[in-house]
Amino acid sequence: MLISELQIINFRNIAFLRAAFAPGLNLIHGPNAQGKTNVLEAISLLVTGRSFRTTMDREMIPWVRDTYEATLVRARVEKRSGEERFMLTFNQSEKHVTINGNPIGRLGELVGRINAVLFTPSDLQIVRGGPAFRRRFLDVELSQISRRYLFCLQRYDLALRQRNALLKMHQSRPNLRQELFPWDAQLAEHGAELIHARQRMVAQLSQLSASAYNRISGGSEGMKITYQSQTQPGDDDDIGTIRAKLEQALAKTQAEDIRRGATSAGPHRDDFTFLLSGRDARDYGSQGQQRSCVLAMRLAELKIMEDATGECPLLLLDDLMSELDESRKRAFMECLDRRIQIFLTATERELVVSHVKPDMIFHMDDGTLREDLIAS
Amino acid sequence: MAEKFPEPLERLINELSRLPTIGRKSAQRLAFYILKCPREQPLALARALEQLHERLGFCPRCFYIATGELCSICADPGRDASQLCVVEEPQDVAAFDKPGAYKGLYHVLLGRLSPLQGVTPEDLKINELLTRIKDPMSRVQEVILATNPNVDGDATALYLSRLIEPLGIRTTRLGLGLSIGSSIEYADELTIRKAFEGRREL
Repeated sequence: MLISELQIINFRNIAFLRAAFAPGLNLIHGPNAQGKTNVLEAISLLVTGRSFRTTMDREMIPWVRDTYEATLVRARVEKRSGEERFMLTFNQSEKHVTINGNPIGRLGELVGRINAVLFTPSDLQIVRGGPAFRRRFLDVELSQISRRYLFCLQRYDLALRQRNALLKMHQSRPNLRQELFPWDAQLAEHGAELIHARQRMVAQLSQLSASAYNRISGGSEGMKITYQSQTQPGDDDDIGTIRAKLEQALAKTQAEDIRRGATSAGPHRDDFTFLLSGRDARDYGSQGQQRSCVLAMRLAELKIMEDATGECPLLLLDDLMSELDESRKRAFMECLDRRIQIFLTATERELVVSHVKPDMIFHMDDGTLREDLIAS
Repeated sequence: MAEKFPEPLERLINELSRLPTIGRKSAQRLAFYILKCPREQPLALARALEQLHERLGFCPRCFYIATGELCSICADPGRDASQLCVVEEPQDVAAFDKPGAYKGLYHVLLGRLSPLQGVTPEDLKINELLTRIKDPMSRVQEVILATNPNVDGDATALYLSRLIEPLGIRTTRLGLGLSIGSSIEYADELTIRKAFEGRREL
């Protein structure tokens, strides 16, 4: 899968951008705060309908242009099945998406049409941050490759909010247990699917990232990723078994949940851990090791996504070069599959061209993107 | 601040903006439109509004709309009183009640469970439903739960099934799946999954 052409109008500091990209490595270089990441953000908007930097659409619209009408991001995407055209427009009050000229009703229908793996400096939070970062990573990942997962996630989330509302606002109701039942039943039904899918995803990630980790870090620590759930599913549990366990867990914690006014068991509380030689990388890993963990996982993700969709995903690498030391940089570049279309941002072109030859080089200057004509 | 108009117009705008999906802007547009209309049109609207509550109400048995004592469905002796179809809103009855599709009776809950919006069982016509089923004169043998197939609708159906099943009455959930006349080729993955779950012997 590749983006052959991209057009951006009124997006952050980009007033107008139109560019054709190469199938392989596309380097976008320029000093900080010129708009390099904005290009990646615009692309990822077409992937998920949402920004990876903000939950506020308002932040993405330019703030000093009084003639502002709307923001537009448009792309021609070449897939194995043929070319597809995507267009997303939004302003303060509306958001619309069309695919091949046909409007789609819900943003959720966009998810999974373009597959991309994104690496940003804040990815370090997946190793170092709280469990919410890691759950979000899995949810974004799985939603892209499985509509069923996205459906279960949305249903689980709503049932959870309803159950918590019941626990918080109606604690003293005489038939509370009876009224919790229909929400518990739905949490168990959809939650079991989430746990099952995440568990298999983590196992796959663990298997695939182990070798990538050693290649990037040049070490032999033996990286592993393990899923932790209070529901304690076995490795070979089917969905029905997990569902029964989740039902039991919800029943067991019900009295406590009523007291606390919140739901304590379920996939919304699960987590996963990076292990290096059996020790938690969050507590014991160096920053370099932690970065290697995330990168190795992103590479594993690329492979999983390709297997699941039959398409080679796009790879969006934001400011990767400043994140890695020399040997890791070189090793990572060697890991990259040249069939993949890559968008790489860097503060200086030399940081990249000294390691690898890009197929196209662009310079970003104050929101304006120009192709470098200097032969490298 | 929104500008103020002469009192009669302002009052109309306020009343209109209390309707669902109508904000102040839309209310203003409607109000100015009504002002421009020939006198007969708004008067006809006013009469229609006035008569709505005077001549219509909810059926005391099933809570569908009724013009007389009972609604037209409850008053129809040709209906099969052994089947009771439970729906969320009166407009759902209108959607289900197509000739030849279903001959039984209905019960309208007038909503769905949603703790987030403060809707709990006593806000719905659930007690009325149970009283109706438990009535010694009742001929109900099957309760068909036809709430919407979303999280709140499913929760409402699950809650009801727990209350009704102990009474020894068959409870069923409306089937989900492929729509008739559509091509299987274009059905999405979730619809197909539901269709498989709901398969039956031929």
